[in-house]
Parts: sequence; structure tokens; C-alpha cells
Amino acid sequence: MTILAIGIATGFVYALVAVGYSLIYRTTGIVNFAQGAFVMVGGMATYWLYQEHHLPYPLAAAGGVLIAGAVGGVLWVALVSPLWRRNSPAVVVILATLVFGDLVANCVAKGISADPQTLPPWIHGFRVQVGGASIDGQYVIVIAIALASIIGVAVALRRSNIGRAMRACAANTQTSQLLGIAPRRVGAAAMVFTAALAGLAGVVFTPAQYTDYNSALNYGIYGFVAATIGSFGDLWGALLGGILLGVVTALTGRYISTNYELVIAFAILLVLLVLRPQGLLGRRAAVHHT
Amino acid sequence: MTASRVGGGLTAQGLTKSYGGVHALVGVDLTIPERTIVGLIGPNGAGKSTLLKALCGFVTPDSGSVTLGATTLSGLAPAQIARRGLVTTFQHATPISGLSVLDNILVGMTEQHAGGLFTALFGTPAYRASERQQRDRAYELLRSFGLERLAGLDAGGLSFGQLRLLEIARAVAARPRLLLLDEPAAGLNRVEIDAMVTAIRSLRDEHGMGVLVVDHDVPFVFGISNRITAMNFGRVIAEGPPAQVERDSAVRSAYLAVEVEGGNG
Repeated sequence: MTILAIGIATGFVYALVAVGYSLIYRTTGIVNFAQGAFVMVGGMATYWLYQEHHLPYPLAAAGGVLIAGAVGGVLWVALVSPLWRRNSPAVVVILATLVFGDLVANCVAKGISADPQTLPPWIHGFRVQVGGASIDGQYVIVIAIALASIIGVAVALRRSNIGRAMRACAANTQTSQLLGIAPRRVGAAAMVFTAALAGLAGVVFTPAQYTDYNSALNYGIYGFVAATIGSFGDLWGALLGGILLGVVTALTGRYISTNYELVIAFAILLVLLVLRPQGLLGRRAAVHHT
Repeated sequence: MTASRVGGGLTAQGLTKSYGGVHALVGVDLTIPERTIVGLIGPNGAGKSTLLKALCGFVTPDSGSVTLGATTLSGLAPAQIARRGLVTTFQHATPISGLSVLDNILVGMTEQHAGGLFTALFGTPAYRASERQQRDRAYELLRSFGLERLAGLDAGGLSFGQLRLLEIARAVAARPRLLLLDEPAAGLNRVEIDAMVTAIRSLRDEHGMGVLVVDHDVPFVFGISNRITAMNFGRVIAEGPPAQVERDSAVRSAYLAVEVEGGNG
């Protein structure tokens, strides 16, 4: 039971990363492999503000989210936007995001800490009894915050003007441009927003386990697999993919070996790519925009 | 606003564009005064499409300039040109599928929305007021184009005639000063063409816009336009009121004669 709860909570973190992949892909056609680095930055920046600068915990947490969003902004302004303007091939942009993620991880290792760090739980002594097992309440908080975030994103995409602009840009870039919606501005908004969202995942998940600069790559990979499982570009698919992946890797770690978690994740990815390339919830191939 | 209305029309001067050895545009001048409907005619390959794309920013001309009122449009990106008041609809009907008819109209209004991402996320009163105001205006527009029954449907499921009307309503939602319509009557039946004529006239008379109509349907273009510009081989061959252009010998041989032959055959 405990392992299931941990798996689901981890899955929600993957889901938030997957939502980031999906939104960026839908609006810009770019696969942003720096997505995992934003999770790590959220956790490590909060640790840095709280432990080293002694900010009050809520303020440090908010700072972690904002710093992650700002790092997303830097990625956009420094790399993606100039490459896009020059009509660089998609593979170059994708590689640039991968390198950027690695660069951020190394900066964190040098500038903040190279060791794994954790944070205090949000509510001290909060534990939940499920079927006779006692579960760390932080996992429940992770699930609640992540679920609320994803519902919030879904509502914002449907009901807000920026959400509509993002959906319009994803569905028909040329017509959106003719109506005054600049794809680059929409892309910038999507990048900063999804980076902050991934940062939030790091902020809330770090107290349940730990974060170090290396985890950037892991979150990036698991989030990518989750997005692919649930059809790249679909919000609820990302959630489903994240939870499935979280549970499967947790069970693998518990009953086989933690060494096989990544192997299983990649095996799922490969089997899906062959048997159901459109993802579990996908109805058609994703639309490409360059 | 008053100042820009004086001489707020479009002026394109000396637009030239070549693809390899093909001269798609050769020193094209075009004027669209405000509150005027200008018809652009010419046989296939005359350069009409290239001219439209050069005006809306999808093609960068080799030389020449485009201004709208006091604003220079040359060198700007399509979205920037649209935000400065020149909105284009293209020949192939392009619904933003997956969005409702109402949302399509609201997308056209994105630039006038007072709200940003954060006000939207937290649903501030100012944001909600702006959103409500936009929805009211969107419904009003749908009513005036006879589309209000369809507001909740996916725009991808509309008939061709409905789509053309939706496109124009969506363009009007962006509050342009000048609207470029690429073959608005193509593929429409007579009843739909009548509705389109009424809609385009109301753009000029009620919304005070300048309109450029590019179409192959000669009676439609000559019937609706205040002035006609005729093109052939990338050049303007005639310009003036419809009655005058209709009598022009160059136009008759380049275009109208072909049409008449086509009609007889």
C-alpha cells in the first residue's frame, strides 16, 4: 500500500513534467528536454533560499517556483527564440534544450550544492493511514497540489485568453498569426509557465524524498516517457501516463531492483512506440509545427 | 483615432518579388483608401496571391514599401502586421479546429483582452469583466453574421459557407482598419454569395473598414467594389472605377475575354 502511494505521488510529479512537454510541443513543435531540470531547480533553489539564506519556508518555496520559471525564461530568450528566428532544424533546438538542462544541473552542483538535499515536510507529523499502512503525508500533499495544478491548467486553457491563444496556435499557426497572435510570444508564455509548473513539482516533492543536480536528467526522461505513454500533447494522457509510470517504477524498485526502474520505463516506451505510437489516449498523430 | 482616419488607408509602392527567374511582382503600386472596397482581379499567375502574401507579411518583397496610414508595415512579421490593423483571410477556409465557433471569435479578440496570464489564473475582477465584455461582443458578432446558433459547435464541423462567414466574423473581431479577403465567394452558392455581399458592404458602411476583395467571380467583384485594380504578369495593368476598368482594352484581352470564352464554352 505504501509503495502504491509513493508510486502514485511520484507519478503525479512525472505528470507535471509531462504536461510541460505537451504544452511546449503543442504550441511550438519543440521537445524541451530541459523540462526535468526545472523540477530540480525548484527543489534546489528552495533549499538554497531556506537553508542558506534563511528565508521563511513559504517564501523560499514561492521563490523556488519563480526561479524555475525564470530559468525557463532564460532558456527561451537565450536559446530557443534565436534558433527559431533563424529557422534552425528542430533537432538542433531539441539538442540545445538537452545541453541547457545539463548546464543548469552543473551550475546548481557548483553554485548551490553537489549533494542530495531535502526540505522539511509542509505539515509536521502529518501521516495518513491507508489499509493499515502509515504513509508520509507529504505524498498526499504532492498528489493534491499536482492534481489541482493540472485541473488549473485545463481550466486556464479552456477559459483564459492566453489559453485560447495557445490552443489556437497549436491547432493552426498560420491563421493565428493572421489574427495578431505571435507564435513566439505564445511559446515564451508556455515556456515560463511550464517551467514554473515543473518547479512547483520539485518544491513540493523534495520534502518527501530528496533532490540533487543529477535528478534533472531522471525527471526529464521519466516525464518524456509519461508524455509519450499518454499521447504527446494531451493533458489527461500526461496525467494517466505519469501515474502508470510512477506506479510501475515504484513496484519495480520494490520487488525487483531500483537498478531496473529506468530499464522498465524504456521498455514500456519502446513497446508503446511500436504498438501504439499515438499514445494510450491519442486518436491521431500529433500535428507538427515548425 | 480621428487623425489616423484621415488618410488611414493602405499604400503599397513599387512592390517587386522574383522567384528564381520568375517575376511574380514587378513594381506593383496599390492604394486602398479607408471606407472603400477595392477589387483585385487578374488571371491565374498574375501575381495576386504573391501580392496578398507580401501585404500580410508571409512573403518578404525584394523591394518596395507598404504603409497603413502613418504606420510602416514593410519588414514586420505577420502577427505584428495584424496587430497594426491589417487582417487577412485566405482562400482555403481555415477554421481553428478543436475550438468552438465562439472560441474562434474570441481568439480574434486576443489583442484587445485586458487580462494577462496571472490575472487569468487568479480570476481577478478586472479579468472577469474583460472576459464577459468580450463574450458579449463575440455573441453580437455571431448574430450579425447569422452564426449564433452554432456558437458552441466545433468550428471544424461547419459547412463551407458557414466557415467563410466565420472567418470574416473572426477577422472583424480583431478590429482591423483594413481587411484583405482572398476569394471570399469561391465555392459559395448564389444565396451564400448574396449573404457575403451584404456582410462585406457592412464592413465598409458599419465598421468603417477598407476592404480588398480578390476573386475570380467577375460580376461579384465588379458589383461590390468602389474601385478595381487589374493585374497581369506581375504588373498592374489597369486601375480605376469598375465601369472604366471594364472598358479597358488591356483588361478585356487579358482577363475578361478569357472569362467570356470560358462562359460560352
